[in-house]
Amino acid sequence: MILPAKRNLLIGAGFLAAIAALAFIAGALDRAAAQGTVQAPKFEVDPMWPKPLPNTWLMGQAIGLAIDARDHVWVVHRPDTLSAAEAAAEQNPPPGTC
Amino acid sequence: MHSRVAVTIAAGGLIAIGWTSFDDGTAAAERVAQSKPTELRYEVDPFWPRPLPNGWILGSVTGVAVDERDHVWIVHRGAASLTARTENGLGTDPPTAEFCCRPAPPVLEFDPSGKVVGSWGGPGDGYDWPESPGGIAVDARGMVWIAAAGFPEATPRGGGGRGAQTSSPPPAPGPVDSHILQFTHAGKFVRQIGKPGVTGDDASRTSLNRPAGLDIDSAANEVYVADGHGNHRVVVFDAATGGYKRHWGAYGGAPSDANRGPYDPAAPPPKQFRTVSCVTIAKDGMVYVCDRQNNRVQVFDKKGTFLKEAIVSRATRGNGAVWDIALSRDAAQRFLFVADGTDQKVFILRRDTLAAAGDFGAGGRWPGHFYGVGSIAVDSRGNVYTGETFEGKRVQKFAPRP
Repeated sequence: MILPAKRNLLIGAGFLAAIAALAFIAGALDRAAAQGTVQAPKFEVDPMWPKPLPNTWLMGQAIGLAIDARDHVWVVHRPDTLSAAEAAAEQNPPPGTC
Repeated sequence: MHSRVAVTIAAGGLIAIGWTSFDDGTAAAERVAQSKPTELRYEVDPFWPRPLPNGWILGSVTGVAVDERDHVWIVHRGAASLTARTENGLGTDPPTAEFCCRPAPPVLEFDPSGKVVGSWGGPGDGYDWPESPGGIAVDARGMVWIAAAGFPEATPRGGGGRGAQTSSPPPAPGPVDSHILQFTHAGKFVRQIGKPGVTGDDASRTSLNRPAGLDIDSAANEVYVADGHGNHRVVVFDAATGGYKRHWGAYGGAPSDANRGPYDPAAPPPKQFRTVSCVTIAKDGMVYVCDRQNNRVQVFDKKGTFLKEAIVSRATRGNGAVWDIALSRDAAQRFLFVADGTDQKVFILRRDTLAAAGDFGAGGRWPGHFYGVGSIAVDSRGNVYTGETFEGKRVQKFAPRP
């Protein structure tokens, strides 16, 4: 028969062993992950950016994009790539309001 | 600034559509000021539908419909409306791209979550697939009907607009679409009424001239055809036999093919339809007809007796303001949604008075904006779905906002 004190000691040693084993496995997993592929940041689209353009403006082909020191986004586009139907409000007389 | 104005007005109970509302400057702001209060408010769901599988991309969407299970059906023009260089890189021979894209099958079925659960369409044995489809409708039996709206004879095929260069010459014009098609839910051919190239005039009992849209009276088993881009009438066939039933023109009179000349906003309402681009049957039996380039809705009973009309956006020229009509799904169907592919808006009218009750949308490519919005449908929960043709090439969902 095992004395209560010795039994508690055995249980405690068991816990310590289990924790040590888990820590070792976790460390091994971390090392394995670190040796694997580099994880790029994940992206998701923000469909509500940018806000609607004012003045019934419409962009043509956007062919240049830059960000300045203030994190403002600059774009240059080709207005003459819009079809007549898209640029309706520019025509005389305008076929529609857009 | 306009967004803030929109929010303020929305709080007063007018139609609003989140940040996309009333952002197109003075004209829209004036329209807002004139609109009547209503409880209807909508906002775009930018994550509907889900991304298409298989590298599929949509061409010009010409029809949208909702079936009894709230599945959303669209039909689009596919490769004929795609730019080979930038949109069809997997569909060309040899492919020019590794990942994007190939035309989706012409007919797609989405479940309410926006996932594609069915796809079919294109040429097959025993029928003539449209050179260009028009509207789509699903009847109470689950049958899918498609109008063959075609192109005007002189129209070059392929994508439009500068910058829409194709890598190969556009296909030669085929026979002019003059028919409608019926398929099962799964895409098995059932019936064709009319024959491409065998164009019927405004009195024809057997053929059509570039029909733009259709709707089905499932109880009477009749199909109503908006006929169309070439003719100037509504024509009704027996849905079971394809047999002719009746037809009528503007104000319920005899339709005429006489040249109408250009639309004049200052002239009195024309006695004839200019472009019959849709027909929609209400639960109470009233029949709503799009007279697209006359900017008006005309209302009839099922026999073709004229009841009333309303002008929507009188000054609009170009392709006109009244492209397609959907009805709200409340018991009384209190509202009419009018897709305007020239002004890039959805107008909302009260069904009882046809008075303006608001509008949403503006021109552009961002969520909630439109380019060529020419088709519209409403599901049982009140969500509104829009299809964009020409270079719009998408389907969007707008949810009612509490």
